[in-house]
Amino acid sequence: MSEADLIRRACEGDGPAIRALYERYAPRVYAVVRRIAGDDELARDYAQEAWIRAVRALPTFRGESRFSTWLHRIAVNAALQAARKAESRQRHERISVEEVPVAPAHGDALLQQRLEGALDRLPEGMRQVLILHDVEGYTHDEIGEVLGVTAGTSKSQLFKARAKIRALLRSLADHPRSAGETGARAWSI
Amino acid sequence: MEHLSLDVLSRLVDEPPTVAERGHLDRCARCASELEALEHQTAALSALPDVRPVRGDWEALEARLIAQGLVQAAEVRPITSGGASGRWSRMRWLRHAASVALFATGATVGAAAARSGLGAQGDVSATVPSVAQLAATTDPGEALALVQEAERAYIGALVHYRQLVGARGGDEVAGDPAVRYAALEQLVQAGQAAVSRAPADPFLNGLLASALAEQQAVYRRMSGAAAQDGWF
Repeated sequence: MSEADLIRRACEGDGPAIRALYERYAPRVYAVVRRIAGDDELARDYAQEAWIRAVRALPTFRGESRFSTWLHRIAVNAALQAARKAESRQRHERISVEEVPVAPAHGDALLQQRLEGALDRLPEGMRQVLILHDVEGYTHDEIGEVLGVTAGTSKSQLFKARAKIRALLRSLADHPRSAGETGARAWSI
Repeated sequence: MEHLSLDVLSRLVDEPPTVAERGHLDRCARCASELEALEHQTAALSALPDVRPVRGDWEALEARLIAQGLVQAAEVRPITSGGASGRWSRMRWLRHAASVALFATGATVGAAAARSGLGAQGDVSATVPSVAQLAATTDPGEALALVQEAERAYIGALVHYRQLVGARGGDEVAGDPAVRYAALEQLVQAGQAAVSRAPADPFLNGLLASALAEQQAVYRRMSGAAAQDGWF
């Protein structure tokens, strides 16, 4: 069944069609809300909120952009709004960079784990800008729009965030936890 | 020689350097290396993979979508074709199966909780119909009787449990609260499964709400006890 057919049926409240869209896009939605949330528990709530908003808004989807783009924007907005509402962030299982499990074989997997861990350690404003710009590819104008800040502020936060991530990863390079890690590609960035 | 700051180098990932910055980068291997590392870091961030949600996320979302009226009730499909059971719909079977699973679990939990806190009791679960029994029948009347039997066992177990609690003097129940919490968790999970399949059933919703409330009460008691023990 084509995506257009799935969307049309999902608009009518068809459960299997909604599930098919969920199966197709859940990893993309969860990835962005997880990074914005910085926390697994919050991410589950944010992702559900994003999907509920998306299903509710489906009748307004006109196909002017790709469905994935439309859905992604809803997910980002839902996560950012939920993050703003949260009085204080609850970090139930915060993973520090030092505690990220070491992937035994693949350098890229290790690097990704360390980047994800480092993202969680950034202050919220910096993290949001870095995720939207460097991970999601938003422009500073777009970031200013969704975060309610100027493009200049977005740039400033981005440069600070990159520097902080770099410092976090470099500190790991200076203090490797095991001999096996010293040769990993993650240390070299 | 004064090096370029990390903030400046971070900017140079996106923007061209000034003449002075270019000159410094040409002379300083350390800053050039840092800039290269920042460029690698930015490229790696843009290549971070998607993340699959944890198992069970769809079920939780589906329950919320149904509760908010955003998903229609499951379509009705016969599980057997034609014959006397033609009206025996899949939807109805699911509701009956959900009910039996919930009642069977509830009866078992009631018995287990009573045993853990208040001494031995007969094995109630042995008398409760199972979903397997239900699956073996295609007769709606027989299925309904099985559900009612399971419901009676469930209520009987809870009544017995409450009587025993009362005999021990109120809400304080002896035994291991962690065991009770785990047992109630089984009941909550069965209740959630039942409600997800029969979301409009007020009785199942009520039972689930009761189980959740009881579980939260146990959790509060456990937290209170832990605080008194100086765990937190």
